[in-house]
Amino acid sequence: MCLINVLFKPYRCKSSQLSIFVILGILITILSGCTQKSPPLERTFRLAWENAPKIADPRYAIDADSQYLGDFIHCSLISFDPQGGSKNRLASEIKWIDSKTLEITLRTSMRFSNQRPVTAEDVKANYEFLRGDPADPTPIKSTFSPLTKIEVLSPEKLRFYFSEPNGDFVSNLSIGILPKEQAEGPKIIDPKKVMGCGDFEVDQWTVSHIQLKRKWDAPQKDVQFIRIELVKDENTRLLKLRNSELDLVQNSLNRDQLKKLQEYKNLKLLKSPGLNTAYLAFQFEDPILKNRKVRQAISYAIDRKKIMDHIFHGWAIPAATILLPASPFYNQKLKWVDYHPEKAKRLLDEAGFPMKGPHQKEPRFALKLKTTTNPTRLIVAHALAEELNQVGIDLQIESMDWGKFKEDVDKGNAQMWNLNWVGFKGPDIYRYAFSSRSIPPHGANRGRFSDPRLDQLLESAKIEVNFERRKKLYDQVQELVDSELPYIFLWHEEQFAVLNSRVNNYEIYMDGRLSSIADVSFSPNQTK
Amino acid sequence: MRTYLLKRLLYFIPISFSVVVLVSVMIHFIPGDPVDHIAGDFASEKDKNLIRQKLGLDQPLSKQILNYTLGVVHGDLGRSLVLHRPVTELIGERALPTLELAFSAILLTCLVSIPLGALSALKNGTLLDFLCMGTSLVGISMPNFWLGPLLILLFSIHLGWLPVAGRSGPGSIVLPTLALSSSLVAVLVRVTRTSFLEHLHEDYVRTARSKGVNEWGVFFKHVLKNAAITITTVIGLQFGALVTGTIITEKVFDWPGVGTLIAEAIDRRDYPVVQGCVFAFSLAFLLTNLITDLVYFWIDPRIRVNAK
Repeated sequence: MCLINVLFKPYRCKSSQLSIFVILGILITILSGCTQKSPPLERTFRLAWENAPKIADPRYAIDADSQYLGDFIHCSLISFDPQGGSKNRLASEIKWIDSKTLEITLRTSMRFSNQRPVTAEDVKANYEFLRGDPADPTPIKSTFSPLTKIEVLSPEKLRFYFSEPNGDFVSNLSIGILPKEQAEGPKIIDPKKVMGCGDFEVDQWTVSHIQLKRKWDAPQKDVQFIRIELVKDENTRLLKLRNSELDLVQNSLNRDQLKKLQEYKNLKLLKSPGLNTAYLAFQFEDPILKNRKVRQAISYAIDRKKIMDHIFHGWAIPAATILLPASPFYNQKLKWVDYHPEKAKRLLDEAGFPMKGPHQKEPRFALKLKTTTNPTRLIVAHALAEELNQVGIDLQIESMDWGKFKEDVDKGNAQMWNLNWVGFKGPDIYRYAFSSRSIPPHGANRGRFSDPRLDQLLESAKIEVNFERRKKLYDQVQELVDSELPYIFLWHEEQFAVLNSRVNNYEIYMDGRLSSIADVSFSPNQTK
Repeated sequence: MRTYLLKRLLYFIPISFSVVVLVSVMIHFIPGDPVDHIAGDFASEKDKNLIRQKLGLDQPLSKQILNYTLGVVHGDLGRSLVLHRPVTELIGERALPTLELAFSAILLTCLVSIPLGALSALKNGTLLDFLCMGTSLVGISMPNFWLGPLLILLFSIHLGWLPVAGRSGPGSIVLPTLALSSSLVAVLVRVTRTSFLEHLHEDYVRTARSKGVNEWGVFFKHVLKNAAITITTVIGLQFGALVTGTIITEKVFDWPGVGTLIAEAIDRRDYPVVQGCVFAFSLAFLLTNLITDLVYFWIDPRIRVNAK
């Protein structure tokens, strides 16, 4: 009956008007219900991501989400363990024959979705594509330019030849392998057509979720499907966890809410060190900041522990260099700088910047710090301003969206900025961040730092393939950076994972990968 | 009528063309490089230049805009720079969820607001009128990003009746519809009430009453038809706004509509997607306005006569 009829009896609603409302209502309900069938809950691991992966073709996957997804679909010559160290995956052995020749032996057990074994010809085709000149250029072509020739010795063995020694190259072997016929072809846009040699294959790929299905070879595993929900809003991710609609959210929640989450019986919280380093960077063309004593003073003026305790709730460890203490290249001699405001004031006086004004109560000088609109980074920026204010530095904050921020720091239009390095694996990050050859657009030396001693060390380390000798060179690099302070290293944020209590054996990977999902088990009778 | 329709459809061309050119120019003035999003932080400048060349981003702005406009004329909205897929395909897969939500929200809004506004006008100055207006004030005052999580807490977490978010079944449309409709209902109730009150004191109403037409007859046969013009205008505008994306509601309820598509595209400086979405929005708005005008024809014979 028409709603108007109920309210105003004498008026009779026309049947055509009534039917329009009814048909519209039914249509909307039916359409919103038109979704693909869900797999059984007890065999499905459900997690939420903030952003969708951009592509499933490993040759073009450079964003973190595409790489995490690729970890399930593809196999690569090397992979990474939970501590961020490299380990062989498709390769059973990788050895330097000489400083310009790398020999790789493959496992024979790896297969593509069509059950064909992965051979050296497939690997060759993938790396030939990456170093070649395809119509659609890959963003990582330069990485493979030192590779001059690839030779297949047998179906399981191949050799890479280089134009010059390249000690860092092995860390680039983590790119997923496609079958030869796909690797020689153009970019694969349809994710369902991508044929990988990983544990899973793409089952569904929609605007709101991606579903992966385990391949034929492990029916005994609890996780047969992985369903990645794309949930933009942080509160919605949280509420979905509370309602047991998700099994995992990793790192993409506000840390303030984590304590509260621990009160819910259906959830559990894990934490682990993360492969990231927060830093404060300086512009070396600035007349104030090129003074080393000013940079040292700023370093002493920051109470890192207070910030870590209050903003990160203690979920961070102090940083002495870019690398984490777990890295084999970490220089154990380095110590993080203690909070020492008196020393900071003394250094600023010595640098020729005394307090100003008739009563010496006005700031010594003003600086501008640029930051992104990321809420945590913005809070940290304000905390840093407060700390520097205590020693007489007026730090003004300017926040902007990522595009504008990156353009400004790349062009050198920023005196100071705070940012995080994430996802780096080896010590070659130093060359990218501090070599005088890496000033934008050629790298990320955005502060225009230049030191011939450091350049020399970085070039020597690049061509050194012997681990001990490389370690010694990078020890010196870290010491030099520590003394010259192109950056002030602040802390390494810890990662966290909020899990549904039905999930067992989940392990957080230092680089944020989700590889352990494949091996988790579910508690019986706790499917929701 | 046919000439009128043709004339209105011809208006679409210059308006849409101006929108495309204006947006194309403006988006290129926003700082930030789409190649940074495509190539990532560790790509070399050489690789970035190759990508720029391949995508035509190294060409002068005027040439880029000309190429894009020519493409639009041929029905090609280009390909996403980041997702590598045709823009029409991206908009197409998001259009259905957006239309679903827009239709359901406007349907609920009409079903609730028109009777409530009419009742409020009829019972002007009574407790019922006060209650209706008070409720609508609450609706206007509650922002979606706050109301959305509240609805989820009540209906999904505490009562367990509906899913938290996502487009995963018939029940999933209920909460975003409620959240969207709250503010729309608030506006439409007030507009309906005011419009009804205006017409209730017109001469033709007095004439009808003096002729002996009963109160309900006066209301529905005379007042409703005249008040409908204003109400239709507001519904048309509200529907236009709904079709062109409701970013906050889509984000809170994880609803895969065009609002989030354009928000993401702006963030990634994905020029063709932003241009394509704005072009689609302009068409949707123009079409909604045209439909609203056609509804005027249907409602008011005076407009029909004037158009002839």
